[in-house]
Amino acid sequence: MPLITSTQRLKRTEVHSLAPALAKIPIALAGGARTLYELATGESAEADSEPGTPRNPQGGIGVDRSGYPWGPAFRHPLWSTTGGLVGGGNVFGEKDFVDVVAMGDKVTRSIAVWVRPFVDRQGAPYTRGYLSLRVRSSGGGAVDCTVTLARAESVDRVQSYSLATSSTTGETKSDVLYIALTPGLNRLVLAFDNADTGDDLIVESASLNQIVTRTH
Amino acid sequence: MTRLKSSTFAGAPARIASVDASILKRLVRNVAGDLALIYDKLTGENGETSTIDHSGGPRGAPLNLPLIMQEIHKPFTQPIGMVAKYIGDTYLLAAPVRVVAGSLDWVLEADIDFVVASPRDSHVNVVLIDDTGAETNVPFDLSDPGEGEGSRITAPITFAATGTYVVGVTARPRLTSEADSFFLVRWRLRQAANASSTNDTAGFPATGLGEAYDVATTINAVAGIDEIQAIDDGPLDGKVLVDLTRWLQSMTEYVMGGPLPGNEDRTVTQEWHHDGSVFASEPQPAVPIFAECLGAVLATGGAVVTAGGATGALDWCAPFLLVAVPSPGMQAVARKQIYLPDFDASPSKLKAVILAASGAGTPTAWKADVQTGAGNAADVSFVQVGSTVLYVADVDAIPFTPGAINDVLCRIQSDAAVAHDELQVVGWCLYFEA
Repeated sequence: MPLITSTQRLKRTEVHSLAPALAKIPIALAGGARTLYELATGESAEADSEPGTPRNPQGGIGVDRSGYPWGPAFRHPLWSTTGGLVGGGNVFGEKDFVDVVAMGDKVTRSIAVWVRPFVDRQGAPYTRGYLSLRVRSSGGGAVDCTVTLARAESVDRVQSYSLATSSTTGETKSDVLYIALTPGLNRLVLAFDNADTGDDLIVESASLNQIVTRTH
Repeated sequence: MTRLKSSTFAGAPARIASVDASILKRLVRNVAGDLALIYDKLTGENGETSTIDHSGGPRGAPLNLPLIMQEIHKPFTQPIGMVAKYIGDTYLLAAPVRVVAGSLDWVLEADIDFVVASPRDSHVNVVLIDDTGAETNVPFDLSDPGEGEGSRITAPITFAATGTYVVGVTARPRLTSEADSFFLVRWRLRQAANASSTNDTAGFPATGLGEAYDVATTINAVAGIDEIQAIDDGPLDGKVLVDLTRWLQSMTEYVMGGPLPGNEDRTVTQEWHHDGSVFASEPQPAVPIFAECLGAVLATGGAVVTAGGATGALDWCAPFLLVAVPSPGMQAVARKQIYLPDFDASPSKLKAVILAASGAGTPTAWKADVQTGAGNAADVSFVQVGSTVLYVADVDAIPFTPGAINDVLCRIQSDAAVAHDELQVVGWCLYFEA
């Protein structure tokens, strides 16, 4: 005999002692318990049977932590460049991401970010990737650079950030911009525009991160 | 007082939906027992050991977060004077990955512009190395995605089991002029697509305005129903039904991560963080954070090559120290600034695998650790991967700041004065695992 499943919800007035004993009560309780079991455990509540709940975005059973209704998301990096480093002079093989020379130099990089399946509803955690950068000034002078981030298919709609640094040892700039992301492969454009007449901007590394658990 | 708890999910048959069906006390007992089972699996309370850690049903759906998502944009060239000389098999790309419970079917995609060189003449290959050092060639497709970035290597990879592996793209570069190079654009290792994958929530009611349903603000406001409250000869107690309703609906909001359908806002105030702050025995999932390659290395070990009377370092070179003496101690060879989850930081279950290469035998003088703004882990030695030139250092209990950007450093040191290029750091990965 198949087990009942339900997404009906009960109100307090429906479960008071003197409330009518409606069929909705056992349906909501028992069916809701099955729904919750399958969401939490990731297996059908009935052995050798299809689940009573819909499949998650990955095609599996249960919450996969990809955002409501599939569970609160984790905060974690979605994409990053090679961990470039200023090694204090004793490391061979340092790899800065880009060197944006002074006096109007502009460097553009096409990047690709693959995001695992998620329900693409407004404000969902994985709909935004927040950019963080590790940067330094080549000579210690103040560098003023405009960072832009855009989706490749709509480069007219850019997010911009005015970045300033004078550190020669490097500093982290967190969450300076965010970009809209969709499930699957996202092709983006990341550009640096150094208007400074003094020092170069060295971008040691960059990352895009998912930074909320429930909603933006 | 015996708390009702189901040993396995009991549920109720579909016939209870019949208009004339009786509301049996047995149904109330089963629901109470089932909710207690779910609650204990979520929280680890009451001695439950089969908890929800996203290792696969019945312990939660696997997460299948990408293992590698690295943007490179670097050329690979041979040192001056070595053009048209075979420099031998080279790991162009290699990284350690920690495969946790979940799907074992993945896809490796590497975008490489071979410029004028021929991938076929350069013997490009995809390899998978397990923790015994056994190396497997993985069949791959070579295509031009038409994006102006050269070729895409696509290789399906199936891991035999969870554990640590090295994933790599190798080549025997044959560059025939000083202008020749490969250009490494990016590579990623992600879950293979599931035919049932969808972004649709059809079947779940959409959140919208409506009457507020009775939801407790915490999932432990009701932590169980005693069997005496659901005995056969007793009345159908309204309080029990209210408690079951509030318990069910609060746990549903907790698990789904949003308001119950019909409610505008979420009522449950607790977050499913896995940080142990409310439920001390709450399990923490195994979560990969990133894996990356830091540069190329010869398959015989080494990043400095000698051929045709010339000596030089590979471009896109796995980093090594220029001076290797006991002081100045740990030195960083790589750095990342990345968000880390809101997990329990005490004790920390954040770990790393640092992959190195040495063509001069076991690098016994070398140690490695990982440092963040919250502190550094205990240093560890390198262990050979089978009988290969590869070595791994497993770093445990890395201090970190939960729910924030962390500045993470990969560091090495030599405890003795040794050849500075004895050890090259090929790649590293960061992950959470109990």
